[in-house]
Amino acid sequence: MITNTVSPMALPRSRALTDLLTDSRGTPISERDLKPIRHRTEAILRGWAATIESGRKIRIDAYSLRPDRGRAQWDQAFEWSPESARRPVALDAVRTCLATGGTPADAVRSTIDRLVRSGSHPLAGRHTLCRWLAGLSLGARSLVEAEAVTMATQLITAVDWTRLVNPAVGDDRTISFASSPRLFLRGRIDLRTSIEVSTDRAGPVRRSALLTVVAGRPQPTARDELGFIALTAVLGSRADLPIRIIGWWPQCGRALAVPVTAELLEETVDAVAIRLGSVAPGPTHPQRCDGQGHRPGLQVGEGRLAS
Amino acid sequence: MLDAIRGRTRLRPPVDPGLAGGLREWLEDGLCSLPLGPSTELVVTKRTLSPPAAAESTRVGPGLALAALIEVLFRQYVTVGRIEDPLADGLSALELDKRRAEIVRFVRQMEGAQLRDFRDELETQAAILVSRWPRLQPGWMPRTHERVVVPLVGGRVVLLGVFDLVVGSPSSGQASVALVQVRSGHPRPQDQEERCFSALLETLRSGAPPFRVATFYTRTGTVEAEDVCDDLLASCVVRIIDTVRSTLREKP
Repeated sequence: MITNTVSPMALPRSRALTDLLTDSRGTPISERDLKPIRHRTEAILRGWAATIESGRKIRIDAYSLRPDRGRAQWDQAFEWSPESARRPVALDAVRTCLATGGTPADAVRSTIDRLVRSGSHPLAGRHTLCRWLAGLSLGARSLVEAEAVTMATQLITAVDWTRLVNPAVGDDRTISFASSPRLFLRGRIDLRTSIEVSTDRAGPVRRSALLTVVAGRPQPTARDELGFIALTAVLGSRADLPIRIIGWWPQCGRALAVPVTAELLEETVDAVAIRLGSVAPGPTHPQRCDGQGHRPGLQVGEGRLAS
Repeated sequence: MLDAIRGRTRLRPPVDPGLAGGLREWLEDGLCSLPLGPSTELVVTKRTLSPPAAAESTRVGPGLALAALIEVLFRQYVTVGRIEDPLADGLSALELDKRRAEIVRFVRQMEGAQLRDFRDELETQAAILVSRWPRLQPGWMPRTHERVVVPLVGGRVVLLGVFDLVVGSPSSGQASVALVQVRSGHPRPQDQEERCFSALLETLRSGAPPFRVATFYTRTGTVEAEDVCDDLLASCVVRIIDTVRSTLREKP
């Protein structure tokens, strides 16, 4: 029986997690369902964007929905660290493993070597990962490598890759609207796979299932966090809409599958509105609107490193 | 070293599919019977189970600094297979972690004989580490510093741990993983308890117990290791419940 979690008795875990990902049942969301959600999201962001100081850019991600994350943390400037570097390096290594059949350790080494070579080039951007890595000494760089090996090993052993159709590793979405161009919604998608969903009416349709790897343990906001990532996925693409999103917490071995429905997305937009309302003044609680929205901007596959 | 990690037999025991669930239920039942308030969040770590002796204070000093440096040097050696300058390599790794700033400051302010002795000890232990550890095959999936968190009783009790080294792919029905802890100090009786705790954490997290748990001592190059059996895991469950009970009694 397939449920929305992974049983503590299920072995191998990779089979159970893959069952969750590839389950062909579910009710696909339609483009028509998305229109009001898109308009409402845009209206909420437009109201909140007015509170952002000019010249600033703010990125909101799923973690921003946690009550312990204040606006000060949203505004913190990004800097590279072993924690922030491990994901892009690990995802690149997982892609290499899938392409070559190699091990995570070898793939991470190869990724790091390539990045360091790129970072040593005079034209490499000042704040890029490759430049940062190239400037690290052996001890510091090996710490980044060790972190990435651990994450890549967790991901490569998490699912049965032979059962996935067109798996895309690191398929992040960043959404911004023309009416709030300095505000970005960022959804971290570690794995997207294509599945055929049975429907009663029009026969099977092609949809996707998303997996996001989350640190620590599920928080009370877990459903909203997963909904947020699904929201960025549906706003960012008309094709290959997700049927479900799965959060996976490797540190505690838990997984939670949430069907991507209009109800989930409505609740997520509510959660975003409440969260934004709690960290800044401004009209962040507009009524549902059907005004003309702008098509959100889309950047695909940001989990990927420059080659 | 590899024999110590592998154990005497190459046969890996089959996993009892009810074991992890049973241990978790036992823990949940035991903890539920304790007076945990609705807002309690009690974190249980290896230190909670076996508080460090007075000489092993958690204040930043040479012992803690040495342990932190050995920890990152071990990761470095397992990952890249070499250590060039133990102090420089270790400090450059610790400097990337703001939570280790106090340790970095402590080491940087050392001078004269204190620095010389510290560096000697670090270099000796790093040399022992390199001489005792072979390169681990990438196919064994070695990964370092794996964090584990097991929430119980609706998150009111949280078991936390970090495995210095994990070897082996996740279980497909047989115990397939070995855990290694690294210590820069002398062997202590509570190290065995810490190994049990690690074994229990892995069992609860992955649904399968590790087949082997080991502690490697960089001071001597020795290893203490044992097979993981049900009794070992059960004794740890009892210890956790007892520790939480005593902690709640001590709290005002």
